[in-house]
Amino acid sequence: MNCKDLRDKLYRYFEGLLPNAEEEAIDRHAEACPECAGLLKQWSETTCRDLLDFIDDYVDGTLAESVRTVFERHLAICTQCVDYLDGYRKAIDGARALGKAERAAPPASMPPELIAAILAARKEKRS
Amino acid sequence: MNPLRAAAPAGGPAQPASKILDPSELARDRELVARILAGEERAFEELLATYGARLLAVAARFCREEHDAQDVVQDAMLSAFKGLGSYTGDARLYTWLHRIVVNAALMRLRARRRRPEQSIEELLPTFTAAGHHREPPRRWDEPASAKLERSETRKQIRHLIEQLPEPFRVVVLLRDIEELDTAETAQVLDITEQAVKTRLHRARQALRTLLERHLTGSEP
Repeated sequence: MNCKDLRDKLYRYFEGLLPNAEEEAIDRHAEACPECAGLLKQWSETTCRDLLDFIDDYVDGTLAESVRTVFERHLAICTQCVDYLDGYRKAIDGARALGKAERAAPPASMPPELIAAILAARKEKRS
Repeated sequence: MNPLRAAAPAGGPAQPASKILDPSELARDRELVARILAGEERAFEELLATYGARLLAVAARFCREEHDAQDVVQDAMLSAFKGLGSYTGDARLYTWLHRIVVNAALMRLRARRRRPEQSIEELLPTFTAAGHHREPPRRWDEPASAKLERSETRKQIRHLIEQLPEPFRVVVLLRDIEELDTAETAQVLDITEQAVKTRLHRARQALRTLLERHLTGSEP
């Protein structure tokens, strides 16, 4: 077991999907490697579900620096959240690009009968 | 407490910069309103000719039926005429009319809502007991993401937004399409700003799911 193996197996380790022997190998490696021990601690403290609560402020750039640091530490070890964030940004960008295009598009002209109806209704209300 | 919550400071994010207004355009708007209030018949027609088509396009983005959009604009214009005295001239007339049309459209949607609300839960990500993604999110390749810029993909995104359950569709329309800020959205929906944020967050998660299914060809 080396650091890369441990990193690749983190998800399955925490979800209890690894054979006992591999789990024990990870534990043994972490005991001898402070960096990987820190990674295990970090992974157990911040979950993907936690990250989701802060994703809008992160995308908008309004997340306080202290929170952003924790957020990005999780991103550094979780490819699933990197992919989720990437798609989340694309969904927002897609909606905003649509809004921009729709607002900029020259509108179809106002139907004359609608103008006439509004003017007539207005007259009726005034009389 | 997880480190993200522990690290979160009190208070919300900074407010966006206010929009810059052109004084000459504001002066033109004030003059047009003054002429309408003075009873000049042609001035109201001028207002309809200037802003009517854009406002109809706004209503059409909310209403699924063209005739509903036209009714919304008619209701909104009559209520604008009635309330014209309250236009202070601090904002563009279009902005003022836009809010009236949005309110009228939301009223129309509320009146139209008949069928039971569809649940959004099926479109939200799910997590294991340990808090990790149950289904690994899929990354879209670059050609797929580049498609977002193309007009046919914009049409697809419009189609996907239309698939969201109504309260979530509306919050995306208000925040991302019409670009109302959180406070304005809260006001027109008559809910708290926190409720707007929560609803938008869920709407975006659902839109991400729909977009992923569409772009990766994994639609059920």
